[in-house]
Amino acid sequence: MTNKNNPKMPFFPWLLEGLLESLKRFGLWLLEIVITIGKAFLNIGIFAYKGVIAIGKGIYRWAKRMIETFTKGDWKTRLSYAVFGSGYFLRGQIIKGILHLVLQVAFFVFLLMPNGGWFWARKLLTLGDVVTHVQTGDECQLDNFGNPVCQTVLGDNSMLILLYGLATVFIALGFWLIYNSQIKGAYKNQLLLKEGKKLPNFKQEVVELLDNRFHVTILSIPTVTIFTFTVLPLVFMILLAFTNFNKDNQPPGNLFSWTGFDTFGNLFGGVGYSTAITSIIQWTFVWAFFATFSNYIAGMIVALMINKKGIKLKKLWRTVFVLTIAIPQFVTLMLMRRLLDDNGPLNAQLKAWGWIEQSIRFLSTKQNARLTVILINMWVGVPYTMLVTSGILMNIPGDLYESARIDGASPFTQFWKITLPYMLFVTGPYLITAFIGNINNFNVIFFLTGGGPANTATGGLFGDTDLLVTWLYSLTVGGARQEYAIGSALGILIFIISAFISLVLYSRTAASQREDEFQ
Amino acid sequence: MKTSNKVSIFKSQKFRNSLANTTIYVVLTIMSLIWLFPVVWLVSNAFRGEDPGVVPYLFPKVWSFEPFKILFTDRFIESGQIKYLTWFFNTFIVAVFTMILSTVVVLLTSYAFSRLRFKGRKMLMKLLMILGMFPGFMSMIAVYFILKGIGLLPQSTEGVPVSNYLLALILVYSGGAAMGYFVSKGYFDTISKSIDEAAMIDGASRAQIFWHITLPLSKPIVIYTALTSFMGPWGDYIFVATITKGEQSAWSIARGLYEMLNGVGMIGNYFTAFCAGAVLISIPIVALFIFMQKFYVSGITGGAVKG
Repeated sequence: MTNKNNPKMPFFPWLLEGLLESLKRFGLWLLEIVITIGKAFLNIGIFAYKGVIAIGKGIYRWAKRMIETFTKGDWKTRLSYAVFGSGYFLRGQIIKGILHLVLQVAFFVFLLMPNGGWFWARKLLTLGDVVTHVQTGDECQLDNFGNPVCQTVLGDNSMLILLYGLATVFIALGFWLIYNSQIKGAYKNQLLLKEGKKLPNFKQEVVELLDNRFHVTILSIPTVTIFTFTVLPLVFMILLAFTNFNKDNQPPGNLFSWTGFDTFGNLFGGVGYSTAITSIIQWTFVWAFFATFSNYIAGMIVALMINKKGIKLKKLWRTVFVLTIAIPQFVTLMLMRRLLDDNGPLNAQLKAWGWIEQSIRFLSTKQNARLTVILINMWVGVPYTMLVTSGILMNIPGDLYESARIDGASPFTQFWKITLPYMLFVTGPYLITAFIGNINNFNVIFFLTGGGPANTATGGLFGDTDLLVTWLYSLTVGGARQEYAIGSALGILIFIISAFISLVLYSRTAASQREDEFQ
Repeated sequence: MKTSNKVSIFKSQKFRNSLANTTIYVVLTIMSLIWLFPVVWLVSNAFRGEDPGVVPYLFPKVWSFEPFKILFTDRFIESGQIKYLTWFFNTFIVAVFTMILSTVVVLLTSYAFSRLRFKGRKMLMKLLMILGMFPGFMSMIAVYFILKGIGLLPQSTEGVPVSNYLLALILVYSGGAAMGYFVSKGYFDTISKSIDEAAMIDGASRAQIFWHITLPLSKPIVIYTALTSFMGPWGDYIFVATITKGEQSAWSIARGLYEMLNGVGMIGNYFTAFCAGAVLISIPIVALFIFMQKFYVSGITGGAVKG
């Protein structure tokens, strides 16, 4: 009696058939994804609609609550509407109350001081009207001899207006939150006292903060830093996409102003930009796909090979690969760039040995550069994926394989029905993160090719290996173009793409919904 | 009755197995050679004596310590542009402080998300995930101006002490660290909750549970977090380039090495020195990494993969 699956198949045809099967399954999975994308668009529309309604309701309920609390509150609670902390220090929680009062005073000082919050925020709508200029005519002061002295007048700085004004808005938001919270607290105190309960004193509050409200203590500082260094800059950059901030409209010499969606129009329709955008988006996805899956599959194959029973020196093989991770990425990438240069050592040596006549143009033609980049990325990434898959492979319960072998399954079937599904299930989120990470993989492209070779059709507006991110870099900080507004629009586009893909992919992976099952 | 076992030797299980194994050994050897080649080339260039620039052949002709000498004395450009030791110390200081701050922040944050249940927990996690989807350096320009605004970076042509730049870098790296909470959170998720509950019955506060129970059980992930946050600043180029711009005394090692290859007119004189410098920083990082390999695998697979 022969087995269903041919156990007599040698190694490589077996591997090939397995890969073909995997591809077929993958195609089906892709189809499901397309359907999900369609559903996702629909869901986003519904979500936006519901969101607007929810916000409206939220505002209505908040207003209602404020009025209710005022009517039901006694004079101490009502006082907290004007003086922070009254609901606290008038009822014996002195320290808590004083703290709130200090915050209130501090906020107003911040707002009204010279160069303070209001100074910047008031100009947000116009982003400044006064340009830095030299005085003319009657503006000039007269010196002691009656001659006009014309000074340079510093005008408004649009960027600082936007930045500081935005910061002021956020601080005001925080202030408003504290305002609400102390009113609520005041009312709660009132009710507690009415029920005859005692109010916690300061020491008890501190203990609470280390226990039931520990999360408040822990998360407070990260919240502030994330706000300052992530949220604020992000919102600033998003708003920039709606201005015309570029080389010509730059502080301190010039102003820039709000231009609505014009910049987005430029990004997609401007001369050269339309070609650039379509070409770059296509390449970004192609790159992300090949980079992620080549590393994943190669890593898994290497891990399988090393893990196979009967292979000696397992630690040696692993150490070799791990060694290459440890060298900082930018070092190896910069090195590769020199090595593979048209006039670089590799080409020169190959010529000297007579293997080739003309330099192999690794990085200087469009197709070659794209291929080389994917290959070098494998060199960089396979050790990682090998480690990750190695760890998981070792966790697969051995008895699954035992029972499969007893039932007569070939190594191919075992791989196909046990290893692969398990791996895909467990590393699902990892693959998604890796895919999105590769969409934004700045380092590899930047250090290897700088985004080049430069695309001649558009006069060097972008390069043939440019990803969206690297193009963003060369448009703004990296080059002389200084198209900050367009750069911001591009950044928003990148975000939309990343977020959309995450949503779609995550909703199809079961693992992401099982968080509590593991606990 | 004898069952015929006249299977040709080529189809016997044992032969198939050793054929597969031999193929694997061959493949692994070839791969190891390919993977090790750039490392070997880097090291060999670090000891190349004849020409400090890029040469049209692969293997050095003269072996010497010359590149290291160039690295530390910079005999080509008198303005003292190659401040290798300065860069090394800058990066080291930034790395140490970032490690301390980041580890504290990340561990506390992941603990909050993993163990504590409060209103808005899921929403906060989703928010952080969304924030992470913006390209990292989109916020860099704004951060640069924020830092200027709070006085850390120079407002005009007057300089500021190098320590300002370092402080700015530490703040920026640690400030966003909490967003990398999911690996540690995944690890904390795998610790059984019954321990916490038992302690709470005994009257421990959540802070005490964290400090006395959870942390000691989480040594691997603590080390993993500390080491990854330590290694981060060594490889960062973009942030440093944006924040320090031309101020060479404030550069990190990555920025400096980059300049050696890409600065105007530099590569002809500094290529071997670059390789020497790269080898020097790779040694401690390799050592750390091998040490960390154990924790890396258990951290990545125990944490990130389980979502």
